[in-house]
Amino acid sequence: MNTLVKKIDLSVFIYSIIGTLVFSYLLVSQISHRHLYVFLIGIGLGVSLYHASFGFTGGWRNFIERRESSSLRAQIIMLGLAVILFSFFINSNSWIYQGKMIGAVAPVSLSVVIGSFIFGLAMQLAGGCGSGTLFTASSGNGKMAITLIFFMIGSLVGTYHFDFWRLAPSLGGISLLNEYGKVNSVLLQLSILLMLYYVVFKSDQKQNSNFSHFDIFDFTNFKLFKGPWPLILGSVLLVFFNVLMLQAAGHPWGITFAFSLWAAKIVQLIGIDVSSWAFWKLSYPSTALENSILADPTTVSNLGIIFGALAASALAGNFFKASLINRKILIAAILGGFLMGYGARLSFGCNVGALFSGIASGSLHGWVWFLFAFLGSMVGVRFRRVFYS
Amino acid sequence: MKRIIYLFILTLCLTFAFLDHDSNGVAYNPLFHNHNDQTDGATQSIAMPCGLGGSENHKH
Repeated sequence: MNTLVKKIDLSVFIYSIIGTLVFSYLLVSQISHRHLYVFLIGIGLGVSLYHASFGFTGGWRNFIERRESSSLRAQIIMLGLAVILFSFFINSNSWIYQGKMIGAVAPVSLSVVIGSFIFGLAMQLAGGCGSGTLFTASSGNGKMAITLIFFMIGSLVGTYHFDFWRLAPSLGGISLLNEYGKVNSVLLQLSILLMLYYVVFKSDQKQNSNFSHFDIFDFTNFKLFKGPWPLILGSVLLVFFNVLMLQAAGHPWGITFAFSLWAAKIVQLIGIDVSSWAFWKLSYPSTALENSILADPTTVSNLGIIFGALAASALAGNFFKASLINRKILIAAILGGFLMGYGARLSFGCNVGALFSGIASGSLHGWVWFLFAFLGSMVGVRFRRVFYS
Repeated sequence: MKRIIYLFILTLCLTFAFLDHDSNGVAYNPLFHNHNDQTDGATQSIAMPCGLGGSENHKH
C-alpha cells in the first residue's frame, strides 16, 4: 500500500479531479446532461487507452516488422465485438434520449484512399495515431504534445483544401447494414475479421515460436490503478464506451473533427477568417465554429480523454516521464502530426472515427480506411527508420 | 519544473475553452435535434462531425 501511495503523483491526480469536477459542473449547468455523459465516457476512454496502452501504431508496426500480432488480434476482436453490438443499436432509439442513433457512415472515395494511406504512413513517423496522440500527450509525453499541435495544423490545412478533395471521385456512403440487412452484414464483416485473424495469427505462429492466442488475456501483472491492463480488457472497454457514446451522443466515438475546430478557433484569434472557407460553411462545421467549443461533443469527449489519461498516468506514477527528443525525432513528430491531421480530414476521420466507428457502423469506408492505412503503415515503418535510427 | 510548465500550458488551453464558451455561448446544441427539425424556419440535420462533411448523416 505504501509503495502504491508513494508512486501516485498526487498533485497531478488532484489537478485532474478538480478539472473533471469543474468541467462536469459547467457542462451540466450550462450545456446539457448529455454533454456531461459524453465527458464522463471520454474519461473512461482515456483511462482505458492509457492503462491498456491501446494504440494502433505500435501494434501494426510490431506485426509489420516482427509478425508479433497480439495488439492486432486485440484490435480484430474489438472490431468483431463492436460490429455485433452496433448492429443492434444503429438506427434504433437511444436509451438516454428520445431519438435514433446513427452510424459513422462516410463516402468511399479517392480522398479516403489517399487520406488513409497518408495517415497510416504518418502515424508510424509520429509514433501514435489519433487516439494514441491524444492520450499520450495528455499523460505528459512532450513529443506527442508537439505531434498534437501539428495534427491540429494539418487538420486545419485539410479543411482549407476541402474544395479540391470534394471533387475527388466518390461512390458515396455505402452502409453494409442498409445494403445487406443486419444479419448478413454482421456475418459478412465477422467472416472478414475471422479470416484476418487467421492470417495474422498464422504468420505470427510461423515466425515466432512462443506464439499464444492467450497472451492478450494475460492478467498476471494486472493492477487496477497502476496498470498495465491486458489488451483484451482494453478491447472490451473501448467497445463498451463506444456503445455508450453512441447512446449518449447519438453517434459513435470520433476524435479528429475537434482538432480542426480547435485550430480554426485559434487562428481566428490571430485574424485568419476560416469561416469563408468552403468546409467551414458546411452546416455542422459552421455551427460548431460559431458556437461554444464546449457544445461540440467531439471536443467534450476529447476533454474527457485528456482528464482520464492525466488521472491514469498520475495513478500509475508515470506522468511526464522525460523522453529523449533529438532533432530527427522532432522532425518526425512534426511531419507525422501534420500529415496525420491532413490525412484524417481527407479520409473522414482517423483510426477511431473512420476505422473503429466506421467498421462498427457497417460503413464500407471503414474497411477501405483500414486497408490503405495499413499499406501506408508498411511504407511508414521504413521511413521511420530514417528518424529513429 | 517541466511538469509544472506542462500543466500550466494545459491550463492555458482549458482557459481558452472557457473563454470561447463565455464569448460564444450555446446558440445551438448539436445533441438536441432530430432529422428535419424545424428551428427558426431552418432545416437542421443530425450532427455527426466528419472530415469533408460528406457523411450521409449530413444534409449539406
